[in-house]
Amino acid sequence: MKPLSKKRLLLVPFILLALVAFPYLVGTYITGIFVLIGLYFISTIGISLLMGHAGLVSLAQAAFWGIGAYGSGILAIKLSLSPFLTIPVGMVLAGGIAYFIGYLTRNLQGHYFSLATLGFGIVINIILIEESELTGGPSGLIGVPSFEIGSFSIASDIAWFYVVAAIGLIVFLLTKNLVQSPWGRNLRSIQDSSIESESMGINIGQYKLTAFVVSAVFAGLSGGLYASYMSFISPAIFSFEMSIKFVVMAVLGGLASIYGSLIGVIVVTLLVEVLREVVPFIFGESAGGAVEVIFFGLLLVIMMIYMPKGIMGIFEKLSQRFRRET
Amino acid sequence: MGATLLEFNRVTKRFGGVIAVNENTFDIKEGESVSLIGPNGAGKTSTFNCITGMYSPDDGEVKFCGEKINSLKPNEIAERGIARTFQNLQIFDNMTLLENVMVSVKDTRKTNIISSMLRLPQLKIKEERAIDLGMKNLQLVGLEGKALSLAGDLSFGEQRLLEIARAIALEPKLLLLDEPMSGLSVEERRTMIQLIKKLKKQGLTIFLIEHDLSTVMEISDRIIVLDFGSKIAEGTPAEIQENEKVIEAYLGRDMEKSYKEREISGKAKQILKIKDLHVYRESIHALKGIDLEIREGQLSTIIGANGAGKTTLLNTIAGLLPPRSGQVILEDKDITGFAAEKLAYIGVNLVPERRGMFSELTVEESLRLGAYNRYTGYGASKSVRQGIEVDMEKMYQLFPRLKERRKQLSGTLSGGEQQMLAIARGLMAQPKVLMLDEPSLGLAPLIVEEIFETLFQLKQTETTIILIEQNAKAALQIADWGYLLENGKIKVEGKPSELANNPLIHEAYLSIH
Repeated sequence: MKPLSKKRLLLVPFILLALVAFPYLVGTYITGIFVLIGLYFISTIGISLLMGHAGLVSLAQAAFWGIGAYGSGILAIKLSLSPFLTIPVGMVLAGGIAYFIGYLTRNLQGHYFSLATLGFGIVINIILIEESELTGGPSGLIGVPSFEIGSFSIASDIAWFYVVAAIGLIVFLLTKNLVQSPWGRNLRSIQDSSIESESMGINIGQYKLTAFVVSAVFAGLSGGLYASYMSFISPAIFSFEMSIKFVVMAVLGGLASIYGSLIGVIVVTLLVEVLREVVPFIFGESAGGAVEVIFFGLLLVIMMIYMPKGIMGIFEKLSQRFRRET
Repeated sequence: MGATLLEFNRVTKRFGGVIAVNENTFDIKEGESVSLIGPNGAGKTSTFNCITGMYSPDDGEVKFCGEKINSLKPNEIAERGIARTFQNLQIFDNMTLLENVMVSVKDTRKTNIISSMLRLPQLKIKEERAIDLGMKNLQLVGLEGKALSLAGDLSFGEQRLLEIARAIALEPKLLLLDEPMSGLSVEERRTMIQLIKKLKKQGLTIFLIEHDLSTVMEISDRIIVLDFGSKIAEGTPAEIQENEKVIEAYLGRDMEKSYKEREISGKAKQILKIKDLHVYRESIHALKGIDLEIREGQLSTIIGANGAGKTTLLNTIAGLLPPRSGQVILEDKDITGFAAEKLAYIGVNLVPERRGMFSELTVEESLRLGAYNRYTGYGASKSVRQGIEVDMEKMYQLFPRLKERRKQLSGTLSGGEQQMLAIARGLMAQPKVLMLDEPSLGLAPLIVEEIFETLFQLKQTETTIILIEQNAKAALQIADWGYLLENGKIKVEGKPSELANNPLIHEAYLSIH
């Protein structure tokens, strides 16, 4: 654990200033996209913690995201509670369910764990569709309220940008501390050699379970915010494809790095926007979704083969080369 | 000697029909250093696994400091003060040396996730203590200069030292070392022995598995010898060295039946020639210039102690390992560096150590798969198919037990039957050279006799066989020509009857220098 060096400390005001100025520099459309980027980032950090540090691949992140969104949304609508209350409830719900699922699957190794989470994700999606009295069924939940502080309601994209940036920054710092702590070190050791970690006295099941719960809590937080931001949610959003997208984001940025998650989220989200513009031109009006799935599937394969350490891996290589040359 | 630290009371561990640890009883006292020795497959590592909770014993009792630890998990046992290292290194490649060692500092595990996320000050104090302890232990093994390098970048010998530093950082009462010398150079061995002596002097109780008997003799107060999962002897180094049973366990037994050595005609043509072969495994120079000439229709055996390079040699010939330099020539054709599947196709076939069963295939299917190289592109011509049927019949004559079990899944066969199937499967390929890697491994003496009898019969059919054996005596009884491999070099070769009485073999196997 190294405290921030003086040089780094000087950077802090600049970063904050850049964040404050950002919405006014890029306009509302781009700001709106970056609200989504912030929300995805909070959830992707969880996947990065799981995949990059615990060595677990979860294909249920969108399900926990949905549990947070629906948990918070349903409470806010049916009981007219403030999101200040309902979002934490959604987080606890996501974490609690993750604890249960993680406990059941604690002895599963590698692919078997992933398959279990895949199945769980699909089950959750079906529940969201079928429990229509509670969830609104396939047509979704409409009118999830936003935050209100006194008479001031957070509604504009710019206001949301600040909220999400602040929460994203906090989650980022908490995760950074966690990863750099002894706890994070012990978690990483499991990924390298679980036999050895166990022989050194580490309760590997407990560590993996905790990482899984933390990851789900982040997804729940992101989901709750997402529901309030969009004010409308439907089961189609919290599908298997979204879980894959979270994995792609984490892999693309670089699994072992939380900075990488941010880069991965930005790149993927902007690519989606570009695809949305470009695909109908090339493949016709109806092609959008399918092309996107194929595109991200291919991207994942290519990443795994040619740049397993993601975009951060390229930075690392470049900086090494730079250092060698100077 | 102090009080009893570890008690092993009639402990048994079975895997299906195989008994890995058989009603073993021994104890270890505080401050002692004890070695556990025995031939390959004797159950040494299984014994360690029963102590550390990797296996839970089927029967008997393991007690540590008076407490029964049978059903505890590995991490709980580690917390109670037993640390271990592994035969095949287990280090955290992607972490620095210091981080590697810090993982086993107990304090770091008593941090909860909330205080970690908030980076509370108490964490910092613990972490500083962990760094101190980590550095101290790296210093002990002489790696403090590389504390911030990645563990994956270390040499093999340094990684072994790191593993020990990490084990000691757990502050154990008992340290288990699983073959700490294997793969080390002569110089690194000296360092390791010094380190173990130093630890012993500090009062640490040490229990170690080691094949290098000269090391064992040097550092042990007491030696326990295992064979087939059972303790066959126990005593001081001097007592063990003289013990007939121990010598037999290592060198193998003379078989009941005596075989007549046949006159080998000098006319038999060379079929496989190996010239100045050098092979590296990671950073270890495993084969240091091997020259061999295998003659057609003969049974040649390569014997040598564990770690001499026998399996490396066979795997290199079979194309599973790339040679650094040198040549392998089959019937005047240079086949150096050919891929394994191509070599199998042209008739260089390996029956691997531990048999390589296709557990989900039946005996009959396995045999047909053995003839895979005889089918061409789009199925086989009628004559080829008939040829395969004829050979299947031959295999069933050679191994009548396989015929009884034709429809049985090969995974459900006994060890001896699996070995028979592996050999038959190799023969189905109509090999020019059939290589057998330790067919006697883990098999009871009676079964070994049966298999060697079959190999002797095979010899009469002019099949060219290279047989690798730790069971030197049995191998030399049926072979036409023998080689002794030691430390990656052919030490001596000759007629089996002459080799069998050569004192060099005794020395090589029992490491008496």
